[in-house]
Order: sequence, then C-alpha cells, then structure tokens
Amino acid sequence: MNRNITKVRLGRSSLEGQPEKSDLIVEVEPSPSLIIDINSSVLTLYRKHLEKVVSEIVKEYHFQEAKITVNDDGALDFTIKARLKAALCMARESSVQPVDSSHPPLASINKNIVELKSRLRRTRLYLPGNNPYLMQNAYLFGSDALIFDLEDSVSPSEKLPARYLISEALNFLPLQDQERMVRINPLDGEGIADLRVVMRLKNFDTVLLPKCECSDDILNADKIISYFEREYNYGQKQLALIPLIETAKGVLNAPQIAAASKRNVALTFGAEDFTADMGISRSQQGEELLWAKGMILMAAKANGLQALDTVYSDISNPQGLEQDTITSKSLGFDGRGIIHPEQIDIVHRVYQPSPSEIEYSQRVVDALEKARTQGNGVASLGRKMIDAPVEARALKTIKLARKLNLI
Amino acid sequence: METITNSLQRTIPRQANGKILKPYQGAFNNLGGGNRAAPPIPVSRPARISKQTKLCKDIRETIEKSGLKNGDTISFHHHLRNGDAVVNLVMKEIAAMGFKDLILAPSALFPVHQPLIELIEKGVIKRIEGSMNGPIGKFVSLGGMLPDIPILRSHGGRARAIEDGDLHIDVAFIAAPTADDYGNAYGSLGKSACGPLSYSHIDSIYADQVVVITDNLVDYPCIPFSIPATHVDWVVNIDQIGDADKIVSGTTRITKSPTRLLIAKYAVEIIEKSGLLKPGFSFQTGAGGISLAVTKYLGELMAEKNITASFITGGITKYAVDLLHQGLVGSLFDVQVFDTASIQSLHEDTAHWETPVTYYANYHSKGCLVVRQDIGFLGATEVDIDFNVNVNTHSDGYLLHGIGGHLDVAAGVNLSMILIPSYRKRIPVIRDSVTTVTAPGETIDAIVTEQGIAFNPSTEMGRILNENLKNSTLPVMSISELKRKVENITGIPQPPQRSDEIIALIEYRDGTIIDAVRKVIP
Repeated sequence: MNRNITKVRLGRSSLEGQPEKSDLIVEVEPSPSLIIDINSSVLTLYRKHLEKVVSEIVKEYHFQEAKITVNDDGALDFTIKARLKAALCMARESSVQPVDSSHPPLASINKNIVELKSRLRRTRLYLPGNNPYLMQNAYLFGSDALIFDLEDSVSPSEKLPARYLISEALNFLPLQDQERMVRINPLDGEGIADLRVVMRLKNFDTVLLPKCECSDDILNADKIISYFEREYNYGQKQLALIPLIETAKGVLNAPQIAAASKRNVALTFGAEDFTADMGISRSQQGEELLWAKGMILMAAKANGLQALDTVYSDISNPQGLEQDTITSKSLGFDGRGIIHPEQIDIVHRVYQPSPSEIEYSQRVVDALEKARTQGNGVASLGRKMIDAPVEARALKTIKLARKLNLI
Repeated sequence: METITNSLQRTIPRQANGKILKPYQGAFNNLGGGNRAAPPIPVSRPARISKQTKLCKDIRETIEKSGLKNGDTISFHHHLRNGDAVVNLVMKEIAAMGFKDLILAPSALFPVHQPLIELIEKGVIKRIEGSMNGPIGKFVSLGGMLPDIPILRSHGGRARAIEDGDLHIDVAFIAAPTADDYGNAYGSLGKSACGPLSYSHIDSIYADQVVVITDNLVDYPCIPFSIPATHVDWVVNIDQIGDADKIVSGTTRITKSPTRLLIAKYAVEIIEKSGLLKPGFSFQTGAGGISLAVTKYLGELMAEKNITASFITGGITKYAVDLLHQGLVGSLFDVQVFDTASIQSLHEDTAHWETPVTYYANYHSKGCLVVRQDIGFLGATEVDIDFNVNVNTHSDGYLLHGIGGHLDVAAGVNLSMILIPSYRKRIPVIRDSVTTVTAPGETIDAIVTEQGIAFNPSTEMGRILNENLKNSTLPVMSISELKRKVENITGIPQPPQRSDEIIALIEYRDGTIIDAVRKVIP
C-alpha cells in the first residue's frame, strides 16, 4: 500500500504543546519505514499496554510508511483509539461515497422507538464532543440522557476528531440505562459527515438535529439516517430524532416539524440561538420566550411528542435554575438541557413524582397484573384502557419513585 | 541485609541506623511500658544574677549558643508550609559553619526545601526522620542515598517518638510569627501568621536546646503565646521567616470537579446512615478538595436535621469555622490552619483551640483526641483488597508524600473512610497489594470512590455499614468487585521495576515498622 501520507497533528494540547489531562497528541508524518514513538506520563505502568493498543490500530489501518508519535497524559483506551483513528484517517486522503438522499424515510417504527417515545428525559447533560476528560465520568452523575455534542461546543477544526472520540466513548464507557444522544451539525454543514462516523458503531439512540426550521429539514434527516441505517446494517434498530427549534421560523413551523418524521420522539427548544435570532436578550424571568415555548409545547403534545426545555446557562445560580424549572414543568415541559452535573439533582427534585402520580401508577400496574392473572389481554382502569405507553410510563414512575425512596 | 517479616507480610530490615527494629504486629498490640525520655534540667536566673540575654543578633549566634555538634539532631515544624524560609536559612548557616552528619527531624518538608538535596550530597545531613515529601522524596527514591535510613512518621508517631526517647532532639528551631525577647512565641499574629504552632510544642518540651526564630519581635510579654518562654533558650529576630502568600491561602476553595463532589455526596450519605450522625457527634476535616466538600455538605445536612456536633478536629478551614459560627459545632481542635479566616478565628474565638500534636494523636498518651472522634475522612495514593492504605508512595514507587495525621486518625475514629477518585490519570487506586502500607487495613472501614463503595468486612463498623447500606441507592460492592470495575476502565498496570535497596522505613504510630520503601528503577 503506497498512498500519500500528509502530516497531521491532533489531540487537545496546552499552550506549551503538552497534551491536556486524559488526552494525547498524535502526530503522523511520512517516513521511509514504520516508526512508532510512544511517550506517556504513565509509561512505567502502561508501556506494554500502550504499545499493544497503538500497534493494533496502526495494523488495522495498514500503515507502513509513516512515523507515528504519541504523547499521552493518562488517556483511557477509548481516547487513544479515537485520536489514532482520526489522525490516521486525516493523514491519508480517502474518497467518500456520496449519500443517496433519495432514500425513503422511515415507514414504520419498531419497538425501540416506541420505547424511546416514553423515555424519561428530565435532564440531558451536554458534553463537549472533543473533551475526553469531561466524558469519562459523565454517566455517573445520574442524568436521564447524555448529549455528545458535535455542534456548538466543537470548533470547526475539531469536528473530525470529535466524531471519532464520541464513537469510541459510546463503545467504551459502561453506560447503562441512560439515553445516548448525539447532537450533530446541520445537514447543510457537517451533519452528514457526522452521521457517517458516529452511526457506524450502532451505539447510540437518538439524533439531536439543531436549527430545524421546516418540515423538509426533518424529512431530509430522516432519509439520510435511513440511508446509513441500511448501509451499516442496523436491522431492527432505529434511531430516534429530536428536532431542536431555535429560530423564529422554526417556532412558526413547529407543528410541521413535529409531524414530519416517524422518528420524532420530542421537540426541544434552544433559547440562546432563538434570542439571538430575535435580536433580544434573555431575561431572568423569561417572558420573552413564553410565546415560542407555548408554540413548541402545543406542536409537540398535539403530535404525541415530549417537549423539552432549553438549558439554564447560569451554573452559579441554583435557586434561579430551580425557579425556572418549576415554571418549565408547570408549562408542560418534560425536562430540560443541563450544562453542568451540579444542575441534575435540582431539576430532578422539581420533576420528582408527586404522591398522586405515584398512586395512579401503582393502580395502573395493579390493574395490569390483575388482568394478566385473569387471562385478559387488555386491562383498563376505570373507563380507560391501559396501553403500552401508559404501562411503560407507570412502570417508569414507580421505578423512579423507588429510586428516590418515595415508596 | 538481614530482613524479617511483620504481621502484614511486609519484608523489613532487622535493624537500621544501629538499632534493632520492632516489626509491626497489629494496630493496638504495642502496650507501651517503660519510661519516657526527659529533657535536661534548666535553671531560670534573674537579671541581677545573670546578665545573659536570650536574644541573639543573628541565626549563626543561636547555632553557636545552642552548642550544636556534628551528628546532632535538629528539628523544625512545617506550619509555614511551602512559604517557609527558616529551614533553608538555618541549614545554609549550619552548612557554612562546617557541620556534618546531622540528623534532620522536621514535622514535614515542602518543595521549597529542595536546597536540602545539595546538603545531603555534601554530607551535612546524614539522615531524615519525620517526613520526606516532594522533591527530596523523589531524589531519595532514585537512589540519592543518605548514609542512614530515613524513618517516616505520622504526626502522632513523631510526638510519640520524641516522648518515648526514640527521637532525641538536640536543637529545635521554631519559626514563630510573633515572639518576645524571652521566647514566648505565638502563631496567629504577625505578617507571617500561620495559626497554631502545634507541631513544635512537643519539640519545645523535649529538645535539649530551643531556638525561637521570629520576624515580629514584640515587647515582653507576648500574650497569648503558643510556646512558653520556660521552654526556650534563644531568640532571634530576622527579616522574613516566610512568604505570607504561600503560608496560607486567602481563601480555600471547594473542589469544582463533579467526580469529587459525587464522592463527597456518597460520603455524607454513608455518614447519615451510619448511625453516628446524632447530637454531639464529632469529625475530622482537612483541606483536600473532597474533604472540604464533605464538610460543607455535612454542615448543610446538620442544619437541615437540626443536629449539632460537639467538635471538629483538623486541618481547619473557613468551612469548619463557618460551622462553628453558625452554632452547628461546639468547638474546633486546631492542629493546623489553611486560610486567613481560620487564623482570625483561632485568635479571637475561645471555642477554637490550638491543639498540641501529642494531645491530638499520640498513641502512647493517656488518651489522645483522635480516639474521641467519630468520623474521619482521609485520602490515599493507593488502597488494596485488604483495605491497607498507602499515602507515601505512588504506584510507580516514588516516595512523594508525608503521612500527616492519616494513620492516627484512621486508628482512632469510629468510622474511617478513604475518599478517593478510583483512578488518577489512568492509574487505578485499588490494587491487589499496595506499593507501601502506611495505614493497616484493620483501621479502615470504607473506601468511597465515584465508581463504587466498599466496606471492610473485617471491621465491626464495616459490617454494620454493609448491612445498613447494601440495599440503598448507593453503589455498594465488595472491594474485589470495585477493583475489577475500575480495571475495566483503566486496564491493569504492569508492575514497576524496583530494587531491593531500602531507602526509607515507614514507622507505625506505636513505634513498630509497618513497611520499607525501596529504590525506584526509572
């Protein structure tokens, strides 16, 4: 194999050029023979391990005529793999298959989207897509969902390494029942390239699509996701979609956006971009957002979707966050974005199920159990039939109540 | 070198520095006995009989008057931390005067004391007893050998060694932020204020000669005082005993790391469910990020439940002082302080008491403070599946940290918890066997990490906590499970190469040898 190798250097580094904590810097340059040079702050304890991880990937990518230099500061394996893969990809120009955008959108949903529709989404923790240190323990803080972000928190030059990092992190981290979301870039920008990398390993649940303004934005996304699902043999697994509405036009088109795809499980609002689009500033009380929020709430609920509120960006004001979340919940939002783990408990306290909610859920479960022991396929409570989402939500409420030691 | 094995199966030398060593045989099996050491009997003559004054013109004169000889033992305290100028000034003078083969017995050393390396190389210092952290630890780890084997002790262990006569101090040099010409010395006033002078109190009683070095000489009498004039032979006033900005910080800040805050939350939940959180309980605090967060969260929980603690011991910071001023705790036992707010409180508040280190932690005393404490939260560089704790060396073998009060607190309290992130960089903290044992597993009840919590099945408190918390929302698991879980993230490190050459001994608080530190092969 004798393709051209261009010089590459990537990984987050300090001003002095040293790797950031839990990261590494990978440099690839042309060389007459294969040279691998590993330097690490944990070399005494991990020399053999690092040599093995690095050489395996170099072999997998069939690199022979290159000098590969690794300067590591205690990065975990997922980061090492991601940085190397990204660097090797960049070092070797490769042609990309064009996307077939005439691929039909999703025709019918499977069990996993049904399940995703009723998912608990009180808190979705945003994680900057190119920062391994912030990703490593993010799953321990108890948010309902994690958003691996490729959009606003990632600079243009870091988009490619971030895709690999997210992909490897999702494979590596022992995430359990949290929903795994990836916020991609708009499809007319880097969004398609994002999906091409992050969808490959089939290890997340939901695509968060920013700057949605009309139903075509959603339809296009659906088609491209469908295309990659076929390309990567997703089988029964289907990705859910959450449109992010953050412009005046998007707000006005919220009903069409909500109805544009079967993949949709929620609508979410982005206040920072919205206020910029409106040419206004965001206030503590947020009256300027009420109309937009109302529109999004109506559009979501009318289409059987959850409505998710924007982030509260002042991390040093827990009281403000609590007040804002109380209002948000009372309007009908099912949860909100979170930008720091310390915000999670505050929002969860606000969304803690009330005694009457717990009691109702208990009755739903009891009725189902009774129906099943009597051999009835269908259960009802009073005059209401209990369908799958109601059951799922009741079980979730009870599970949550147990988790919070309420029952 | 002839070696023996102690009860933790650690191989230690049979003897060192001309003395037969006592191997560690369990945390509470040394029963004392014998008699304490005693300092020489001094006299106190009035001015009409003797014209001699204690006040010297410079450091050199204090050294001359102290009668220092080659081979003597000299001591210092570390209340000025990384802002200390006194150790370097005195040692430079001693070297210039041509002294050799001295034994240095500081309560701790800091990076600022790096110039001592040159004095080790020149033969001015032949042994260190006490603490060998930072650059000097690294130098010795790599084989920068001292002629004698250094002996490392905890704060309580150092006080015991002095009182038992294992560590005889010929001359104690005591940096004092305020003093009078008769030697009454005080720590909480002056431009170099550092709070208590707790670590040097025992030196002032037992040393043959005591020198007070101040940069704030006040008119007699200096009241209040930490060290009484009755213990002091010589006094000198110099320009600067230290750099105030590095002695204490303006403010101590709580950690912002979500991982560390999570560990603190787990710790507080364990305390809440331990049965120990009741009116009149007590705990130990420190200045580490996690420890500060525990102090803050625990204070919030106490306020919410309307529970008042009887005392806090520490490592005092603004967070402990706040609890005192809010009425959530009755008194503070202060061994060292970390910020200016705490110094002010120590000076002004009678419920905030300067605590001599032997009162705090000496095992060979008639009941020290640590045994009256309910809860201690401590750090570690490593722990192992037998709950042994290492605070001295890193997993790569380098000796970089002092013991502090760690093993004294662990041994004394009703509930001792190690609060640590499960890995640093990618190095896991839970090992099959720690590189160096500092505190024995029998004195550790819980290991709390962000990945999980393990209670020690060999301690009564460990078993109680396991029973109370195994069905809670806390991630309780066995230590082996926790170890595996962390290794799934970090991978398993390869063992570092180490020589058999012993570079330091770790002495347990009872005077027995718990482990030996070996040279690192880089």
